[in-house]
Formats: sequence, C-alpha cells, structure tokens
Amino acid sequence: MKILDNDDLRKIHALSLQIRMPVSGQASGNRKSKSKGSSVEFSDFREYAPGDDFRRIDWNAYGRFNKLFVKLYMEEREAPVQVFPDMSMSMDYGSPNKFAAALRLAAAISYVSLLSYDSVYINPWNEKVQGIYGPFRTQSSYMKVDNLLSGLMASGKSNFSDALRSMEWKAGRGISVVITDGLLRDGLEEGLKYLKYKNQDVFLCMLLSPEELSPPLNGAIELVDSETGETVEVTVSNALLKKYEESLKQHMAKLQEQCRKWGIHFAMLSSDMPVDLMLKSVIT
Amino acid sequence: MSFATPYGFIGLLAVPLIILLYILKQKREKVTVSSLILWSKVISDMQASTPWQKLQKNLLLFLQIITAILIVLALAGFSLQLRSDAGRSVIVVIDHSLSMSSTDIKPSRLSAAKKDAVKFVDDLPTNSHVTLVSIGKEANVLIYSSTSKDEVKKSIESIQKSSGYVDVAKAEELVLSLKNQEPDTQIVLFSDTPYRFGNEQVQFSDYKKQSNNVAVTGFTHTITGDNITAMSVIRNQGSSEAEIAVSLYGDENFLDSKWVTIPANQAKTVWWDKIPNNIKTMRVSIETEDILPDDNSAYDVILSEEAVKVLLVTDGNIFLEKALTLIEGVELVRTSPGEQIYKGYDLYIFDGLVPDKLPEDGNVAVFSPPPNNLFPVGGWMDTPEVGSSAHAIFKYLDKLTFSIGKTRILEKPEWAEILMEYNGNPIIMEGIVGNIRVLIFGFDLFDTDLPLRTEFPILISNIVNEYAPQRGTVIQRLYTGDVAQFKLNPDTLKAYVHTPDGRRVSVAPPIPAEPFIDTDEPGIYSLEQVNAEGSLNTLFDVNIPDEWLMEQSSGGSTGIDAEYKTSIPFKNQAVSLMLPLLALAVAILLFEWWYYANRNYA
Repeated sequence: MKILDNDDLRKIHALSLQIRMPVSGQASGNRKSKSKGSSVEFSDFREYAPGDDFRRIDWNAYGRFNKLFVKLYMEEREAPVQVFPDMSMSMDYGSPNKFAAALRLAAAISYVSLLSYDSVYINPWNEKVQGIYGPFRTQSSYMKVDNLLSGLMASGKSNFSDALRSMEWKAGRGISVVITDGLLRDGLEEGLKYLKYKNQDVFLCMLLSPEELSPPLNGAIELVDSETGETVEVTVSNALLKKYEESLKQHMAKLQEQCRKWGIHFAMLSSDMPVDLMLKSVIT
Repeated sequence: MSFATPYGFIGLLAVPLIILLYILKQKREKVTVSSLILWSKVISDMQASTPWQKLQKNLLLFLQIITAILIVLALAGFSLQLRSDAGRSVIVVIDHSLSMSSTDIKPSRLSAAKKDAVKFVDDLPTNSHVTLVSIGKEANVLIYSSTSKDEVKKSIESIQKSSGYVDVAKAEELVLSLKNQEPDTQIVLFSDTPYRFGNEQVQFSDYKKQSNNVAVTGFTHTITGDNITAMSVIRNQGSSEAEIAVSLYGDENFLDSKWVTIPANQAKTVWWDKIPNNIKTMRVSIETEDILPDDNSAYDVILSEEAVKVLLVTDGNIFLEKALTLIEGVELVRTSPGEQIYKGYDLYIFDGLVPDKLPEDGNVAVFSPPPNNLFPVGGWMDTPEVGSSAHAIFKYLDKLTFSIGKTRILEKPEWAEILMEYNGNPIIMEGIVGNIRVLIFGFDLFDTDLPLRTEFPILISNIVNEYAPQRGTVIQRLYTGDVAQFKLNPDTLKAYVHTPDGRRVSVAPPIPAEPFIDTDEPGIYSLEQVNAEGSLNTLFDVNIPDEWLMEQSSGGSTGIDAEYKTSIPFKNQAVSLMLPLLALAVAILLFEWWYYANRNYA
C-alpha cells in the first residue's frame, strides 16, 4: 500500500523545502553549504596561500591590486533531512487517524527533499528512536521510503528527549522535521533544545486529530489513556469542554512561543488536512 | 416533638438503599483518548477552583440522604410541640341522646360531634389520658383513662344514636365520680345542651344550630262502645310557631289527617274520634319535616278485650265474687269444691281448699288453705294488723293496712317466696309449680277486715292482672330503652319478640322469659308465644319517653355558667412541619439538579 498516491505526489512535486540556513553534508546536493568549494556560485575572495589551487587565482584582481587572490565558491552540498515521525500509541487515534496523517506528511517531506537532492533519514521514535533509516539520496529511492513508512506501526509511550539522546548523531548541520501530537508527558522542550544543540534547522509539526481539537464527548464517562491505560472519571459538560479547549490553546501557544524563541518552524496541523496543505503549512 | 404516623419511619429504609445505589453506581462508559495529559490538567484546574472539593465527590449522596430523611420526617407527621403539656388528662363526654340525631348539622349532630371528638383526641399531646363517656338514657364509661388514641378514636366511632333523652342525674353522677378520681382532669362535653356537672369547669362544644323540632310526646286511646277515641300530644320544641300536618294510621292504613298550629315551646292535644275498633295498632305521625324525624311518630296497641276467664271454687264468698265481677272483661264462673276437673280457665281461685292436682292451663290463687300435699299447713295463729308489701298485687296500695283475726300456720315450701309474714310465719306466699304460678293467702277473708277496705277491689284487680296471664303479658307501657319483662302463658314452650325493624329475638326458653332489652327502636313489637298447639301473638308498643322538658330544664339553656367555655380549642398545639419539610426536600432536589447540570467532575 502506498502512503501517497500519484495525485498527492503530483501536487507536492513543485514544492520544495525552503530553509533559512545552509546545512552540512557529504554528498553534493542542491543546498548552499558553508564550506566554500568548487561550485559555480561565487562566494568570496581571499589572498592566495601556498597550496591553493592556482587555477582559482583571479587574475583580474591581480592586475588591479597586484596581489594574488583566490576566488572562493559556495560549495553546494546535500542537506540531510531527518524526519522524526512520532510512532507512540497516542498517535494511533482520531479520525482521520493521526499516525496515518503523520506518515503521509513524512512521506511528502521525504519526497520533496529527495527532489531537491537532499538526503533523507527516517527516524521513527517513541520511547527511543526505533531505527535510523537512510540515507535516501535519489528520487528513485522514494519508493523505499514509502515502503518503510507503510511498514511502521504505532506502539509504546513517547519520550522525545530520551529518544534523541539514544540516537547516534553525525556531525554537521541538517534539517530535522519532528511530526508529533505534542501530547508527551515529559514535554517536547528538552528534545527540541537538543536538536538545536545538534545544529539542526527544526520543523515542528504539531499534528492533532479533530477529536482532540474539539472532543465529541458528553455525559458521565471514563477516559482511558491510550498509552498508559490510566483512567479518569469525568462528567463532560460544556463548561468542561470549554476549559479543555482553552487548555489546549494555551498548551499550543506556549509551545509556539518557545519555538519562536529558538528559531524553530512551528506548524499546527490537523489530521483531516490534505497532505499538500499540510506540507505547505510546514514550509511556509 | 411528636410524630403523628410513626409508620412513616419505614421510609428510612431508603437511606441504606441510596448508599447501596451509590456503591453499585452505574458503570461509566469507557472512552479511549490519545492522552490524558490535557484532561488531567483541566480537571486539576477545576478542582483547584472548588473549595469543598473533598466533599464534592459525595455531595450528591449527602443531598439525597438528607432529602430522603426530610421526606420520611414529613411522612411520619413530624411536629413540634409549642407547649410541653404532655400527659393531659381529659374526660370526653359525648351526648348520643335522641336530640343528637337532629339533622340541622349534616349529617347529624352526633356525627359532627364524633368527628370533632376524634380530632380533639388526635390533637391531644401524646401520653394524654382519655376517659370516654357516652351520655343518653344511660351514662356509660366506654374507655377509662386510656393513652391509646387509636383505641379512643375507635370507641368514639362506635357510638350509636340512642332513642332516649339524657338522664342528667346519671350523667352528672358518673362524670363527677370520674372527675373525683382524678381532680386534674378536664371535662370536655360534645353535646347540643350545655349540661352542668356540679360546679366543674366544662369545655363545651355546641351542636345546636336550630331547634325547630315538633314531636309526638303522648298517644293513648279509650274504647267507647264500638269506637275508639285516641288522644295525641304534639309538642313544638322550637322557638317559633309551627304549622304542621298530623296523620293517624290504623294498622298502617291512613285513617285521618289534621292541620295543627302550635305556638313556640308549647304542646297541643289532638283528638281522634270514631276510629273503628277492629284495628290492632295505631300510629300518629307528624308529616311536616323537621330537624329530628325520629320523634315524629308515636305508636299505640289496642289490646284485645277478650274476657279473662276466672274460676272461683268456694262454698260461698260474697266478697270475692263481688270484687271479681266488678272487673271489666272478667268472665267469672263459680263452682263448689266438689268439682274435680279444672280446665279452660285463665285463673283458678280456691277459697278454703287446695286441689289434689293443680290445673295445668292457668295460674292459681288460694285463700285459707287446709292441709294438703302441695305445702305444709298447720293450725291457726292470731295475727295483729299487717301492711302492704312491694309485690305487684299491692300496686297502688302502698298505704293499705288491714287486720287479720287468725291465719294458718304455714311452712314455706322450696318453690315459694314469702310476700308477707308475721313472726316468721308466712301470711302470703307465691311460687311456681311446674309452669303454674301459685299465690297463697294464709287467712280466710272472713277473718279479716280486708274486704271492708276500699282498696279490696283494687287488690283483687291486681291479682287478676298479675295472674291471668293473657291480660298480663305486657303490663307496663314501654319506652325506648326500657326493659320488658314478659309473663308468658303456662303452656308456652318458646317465645320470640318481633322488632319493628323485622328481627326475631328469642326470649324463651328459659322460662320464665329473659328480660327483653332490645327496645331502642320506637314502634310496634310483637311477642310470639309458641305452645304445643300453635302460636299466640301479642302486640305491644314502644314509644319515645317524654323527657324533653326535663332534659331542657337540666341543661341550663338560659344563662350558661361563666365557667363554661363554649368552644373547644381544637387548634393543634403541635405545629406540623410537614409542609416546610417537603418544601425543603424539593429545594434540595432543585439544588441537586442545578448542581448536576453545572458540575464538571464527579
């Protein structure tokens, strides 16, 4: 089963991730790298030093200043795009299902990244990262990404910070796309800080189902936590629902504020959004 | 503090039931959510904003228990005593005399009085001692010093109307003796007349609204030739002039009717002439409606004037012969002692002899008995002057004295009673042998001055009336409530009384007949005597006694004593809290509903 059908793919084909900062990577990609190199895009001059490739000496500059200068070029490198889909039990909820929506978003992000010659890593996580899949470098490898994602099943509790720390990191900058519902007992803050520490350009995709945004509950019920099995007895009234929505809004606002502070892209998504719309919300 | 209906406490069973329901409360529907993080936060926020959150969980339970208790208290008739006068003692006197049957208060004065009395008893503090007295022709203690309201109320309900007037002396005597036993007791009178009980203070509840009653107070007749002339007395007991229609019925067939105008508080005699003498019973009735229908009729039986057959066995006694022939309706046959067959007479008088075998169909009177086999007779003794005794043969002869020269020395046999004696020697004896009554005079009439006395014919008439049974079956005029004592014929095997309401009451055997007391209903009664050959019916009438004037005068209708309280404080001294309790229960239920509708957390 394919996560994204052709129609979806066509819609997102044109989209590419817009990122603010250059990333580091090993393979040449379609991204501006900080490392100056031998690409065609001019970056800067510097005085010649022994050992430099003298083919790069700018003879025109020498004529004007009587000094040897070497032209520096921005080396275009691939951006490693790390996709972190939350695969805890809390994601397997809602209609449309949040986990399915998260996988579709992950697939879409992978797809556009591969289109831009970026390398893609898929790191599904719950209490810890359940595997680092990738790198996927070519457009043709999208099928692998699709296959990988469709094989994932939601399970376990979520702990973002622990999950990131348990994972092996390669040095260098990159793009991290975190797809989660943000309903974590220990919060997202620690994990997000850690990503920033790892020089990641972070995209936080908060994905909630319509049932979470506006719970269709009423009367005396017993709520069961899908992850922990904990229960709580509640008599749902309008006042309580209002309070819940306020609380949710506050929770999101707080997260958004923190993201703004740390320069993290924040996107609030609902699982009933079409995948191209989700992608657009993440990119812009 | 008291409870009118403690049975309501059964409702307290609802409390454990409510608790049980809370324990077994309905399982909530389980709903899985992605995470409880937000919900827990919301709930803890809500809890923090409720100061009595600890109670909150069980608040509804508490409210429901309180509501249940309030409803139970209301059902149990919870009331607060304003005055703590527990243990009052009262004598409740209920007048059930004839006048209490008046319908000026619907359905009757007695019903209203009983209803009020029940309420009065109900409102008494718990542990009050109630003595219940009914007054009428007789005064009776129905319940003595009872603390059971139910018992007293049941007894009040059972009081029936009676047909007589209040015997004030009896009522006063009884109530005062009760009062003397417990001086603190309070007398409460439910009546239409404010009777006095000595100088005691009486709480009086009056049941007289009107007094426009007209009653037949007397009815009698005389037979004149072929006709009967009847006299009826009609009394207007009301305070305004009454114009009424009075009718006469013979054997329940209409005979005559008259319009009579009677001034207030006066009686009028109405005469009825030329009544055919072939009727057996008469009734005079007031046809105009008044408040008391029970006293609108009077009854009279025309006794059969069949001659009483008397056999006088004597060698010659002019005094007896003369005296007997003077009595109207006596068919006298005289015979000499030689005759041996005594049969076919109502009364046999033996002068100077006692037959070997007593007659079987009539009673016997003996003068100057010689020695015989019935009772021992000795010689003669001298006797001075003697007087009358209380026996029926001395009726109207209270002052009779006569002298006896000599009298037989008699020995009282077992079956006889002595009516008159001198120095232990019986002079007059009476007794029953078999079914035959025997009257024995020890002296010869010629040895006394009795026949010379003016009372002599009366004595002989009394003897005939008492001992010729047919005539003496019902001798006295009967009033409602009287006791009738019948003198049955000697050959009677069984006897019954047929009452006006169609009942047949057995009065014999045993013989002599038992007294008949069931005479509360005025009307024509019939005594049926069954003998071997058939049955014999004798009619007699029972009328309401004319004691209204007596009752009125004793009641002190003019100028009620200052000590009389003319109304009974029926107000409940206990304040019933039923309504406030129910109102509070409703308020709590409303609050609970409101709370339930607005609460967020259970």
